[in-house]
Amino acid sequence: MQQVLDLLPPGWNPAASPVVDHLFSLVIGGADPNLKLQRFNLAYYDAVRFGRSKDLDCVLGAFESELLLLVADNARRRTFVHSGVVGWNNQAILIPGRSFSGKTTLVSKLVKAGAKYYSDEYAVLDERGRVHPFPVRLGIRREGEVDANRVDVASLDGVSGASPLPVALVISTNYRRGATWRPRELSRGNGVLELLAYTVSARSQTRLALATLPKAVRSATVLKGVRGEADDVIEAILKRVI
Amino acid sequence: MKKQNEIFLPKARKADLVTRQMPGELLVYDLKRHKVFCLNDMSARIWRWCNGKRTVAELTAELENHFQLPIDERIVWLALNQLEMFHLLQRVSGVSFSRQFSRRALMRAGLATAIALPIVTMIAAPTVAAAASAVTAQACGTFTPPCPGGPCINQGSKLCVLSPNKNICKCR
Repeated sequence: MQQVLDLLPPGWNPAASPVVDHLFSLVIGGADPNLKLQRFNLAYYDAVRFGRSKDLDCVLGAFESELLLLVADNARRRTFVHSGVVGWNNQAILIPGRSFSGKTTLVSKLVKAGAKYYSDEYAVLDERGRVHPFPVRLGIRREGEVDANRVDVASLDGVSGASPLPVALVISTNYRRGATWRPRELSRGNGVLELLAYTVSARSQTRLALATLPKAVRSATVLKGVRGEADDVIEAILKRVI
Repeated sequence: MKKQNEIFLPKARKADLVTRQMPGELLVYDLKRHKVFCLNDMSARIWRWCNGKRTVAELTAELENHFQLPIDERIVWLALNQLEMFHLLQRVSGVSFSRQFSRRALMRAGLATAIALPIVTMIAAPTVAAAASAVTAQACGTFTPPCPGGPCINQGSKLCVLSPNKNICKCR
């Protein structure tokens, strides 16, 4: 059970209401010595099975992913953007992007350089455009590996931020071996498009997203460009947030 | 061009759009096509002034009046081309838009020196799954339909979707 509780979104609380809005069920499989077979681990969302594997970690990973997505899509007063987030000088740096764009690498290097950890998964923006902490465990992959090891920020000697921050910098970047960091500055309107491209509820809560994101970038610099090694860009990034 | 200009009264589409004004830019979300546009100041003004009553010449005159600069009519046509292409104008039968007014051509003609040319940038709004994390091919296989539809890791542009012949999810 503790393994499941560890996968719940940051800030979760037991609900007092007896009404169940969404129901997740996990059926743990494993070896059955009497029947000499390996039972599947199963995961259900309401009556729909969304996970089935003999590898429990795979099913738990699918559960975590589904749950986070459900929260992100159903949040009524928050906009969730798939993005890495750190705090620096009481301002937030957002690194929107898909998995494997290198955002976790950047986030972990920024944290090691002294930035506060806010999230490796989602930038959670309120109606004023401020970003709130959502410190899920970082999914760090070693070179050549596809499966991420989930690590706590403390293992990187980092600390999590506690209070909401205004956004100072949005970095839209991808890793390319040998590339030099020469980003171009985008207009704030195009900065909103960069964030909207990774906003979970862009279609379901369009008006909320269009109200929130412009506020988030209203005093932010938006940079776009490919980067090489993270170590080569950390200093340049932090210098942008005074 | 002259004849077309005389009869063409462009009208901005208003239905199924959500707009958000930002300083110097206008964001437009197309609820039908789930496309999002960022119009720079020039494009936004032209789009807003397209009320179905102004000719291209009148739009040009409005711009000249606003910017206090001589404006080439081709700049307005460039904006209208983009707005039409992105379905931000109401359909007008009998009007064919000339594609000759590319931004590059106008810049070569020296028309971009005093004022910013109209620019409309566009993205497709992501689905919930597309905005989510990517999954490995193995993790995709653990899903049972409905499949997440998100991107697969190390699989090029493949997505974790329903396999056509089997009731399972697969990176395709």
